Amino acid sequence: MKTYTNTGNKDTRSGFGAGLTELGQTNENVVALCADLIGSLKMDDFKKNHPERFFQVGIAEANMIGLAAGMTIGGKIPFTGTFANFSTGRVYDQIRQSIAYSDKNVKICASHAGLTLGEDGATHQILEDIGLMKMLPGMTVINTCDYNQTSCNYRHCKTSWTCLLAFWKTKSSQLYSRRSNF
Amino acid sequence: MPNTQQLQDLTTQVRRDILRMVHKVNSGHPGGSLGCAEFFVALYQNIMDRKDTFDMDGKDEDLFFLSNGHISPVFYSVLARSGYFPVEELNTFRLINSRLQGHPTTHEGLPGIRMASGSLGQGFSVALGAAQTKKLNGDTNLIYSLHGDGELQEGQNWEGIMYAAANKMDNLISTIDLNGQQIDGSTDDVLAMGSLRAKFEAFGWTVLDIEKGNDIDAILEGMAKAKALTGQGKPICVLLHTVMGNGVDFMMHTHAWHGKAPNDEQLATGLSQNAETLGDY
Repeated sequence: MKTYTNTGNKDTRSGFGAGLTELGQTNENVVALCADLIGSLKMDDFKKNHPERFFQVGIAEANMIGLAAGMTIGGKIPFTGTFANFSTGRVYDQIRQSIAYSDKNVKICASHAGLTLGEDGATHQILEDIGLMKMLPGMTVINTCDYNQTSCNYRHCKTSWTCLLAFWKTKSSQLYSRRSNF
Repeated sequence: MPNTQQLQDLTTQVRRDILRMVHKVNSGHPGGSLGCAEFFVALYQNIMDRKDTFDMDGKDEDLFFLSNGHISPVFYSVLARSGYFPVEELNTFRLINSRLQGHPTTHEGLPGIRMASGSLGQGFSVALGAAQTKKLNGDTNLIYSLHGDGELQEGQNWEGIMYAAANKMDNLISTIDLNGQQIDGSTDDVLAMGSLRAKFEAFGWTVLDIEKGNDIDAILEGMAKAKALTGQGKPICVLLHTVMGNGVDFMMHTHAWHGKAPNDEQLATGLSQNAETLGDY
């Protein structure tokens, strides 16, 4: 049986931020969009390192999804960032038509998924996020379990598929090394 | 560059295509399609700096996005007659296994289509994204988009319209098909929007009116003015005053033909008012 060792507790959203910054350094076509939640999604470093490739869209998630879809035309690889509730349920039709049906390589990065924003109450606890996205043809859904998995999952994002990363702010056990083959 | 008469002849042929396409399958949207025939012909034949071949990225050429996808008949006809795919393929409109779906899609690989549209209100955002990428790539070509006036009742439009001015998207020319009609009646009766000029200006856009939106020369002149205003820090909105159903007398000035096909007799009447110019498909 494979055994795991907890090497410390870290939040997966910080893994996302670190992974995004790293990818931005190696691929100049990577762009990031955020709907007024830069700090919550740990997108600060990407913004600082690549200001010309970072787009603050304001509290306007539907527009963010369409912008990202349009940005793929001409070769960009957009990562959109907001809470899972506003990444999926609020913009389901925009994802369905402008990303999935239109075959656009957009990475929908959803944080604070499921019940993990518990203290904010039910408006922010989306239980349908993974289900909604799994129904869309071509959509790859990745739900990571620790910092390193979240950080390294950009290997998968280099494929042509759209995907959802459901990560959260609470700290979880660090079980995988960066060299793990998930 | 084709002259006005040649553009007019092509427009007449496009009208025949629209009528025959929707008649054959007894479905589709002739009203808005007919009202925008001159605009599409002028755009693809004269206004846009575009390549003859299609690739999705469209680098170093002007790109067009149709937000109100239901007027696909005019889009398909003009794309075919501009060389993107064989005009004979218009015969497959709305049929099973056709690349010419009722609403445009990239899924079937139809040259000329870069984004699916149909669910209304998404075109501004998509066009802005493409415009943003052109700026990132140092590509000085322009993005054109077309939107229905009734479609502006969708909230997402105004998110995009706000973003465009805030981010100085001055490589975008968005045209509103101002025909004053939507499915259930006039736009004023269904949900009055007030002055679109005042709204766009309040959102920080430069606004131009083309009062004769079914006149080729007026369109060419108005769009040339719009193009001259690009690159000055503000997005451009063109209010194109059109007549829904233009060119077929019993379809004009009414919402009745928004999404209804003519019967055999009505088709014959419509075609008799638009004599064949370049050959039917």
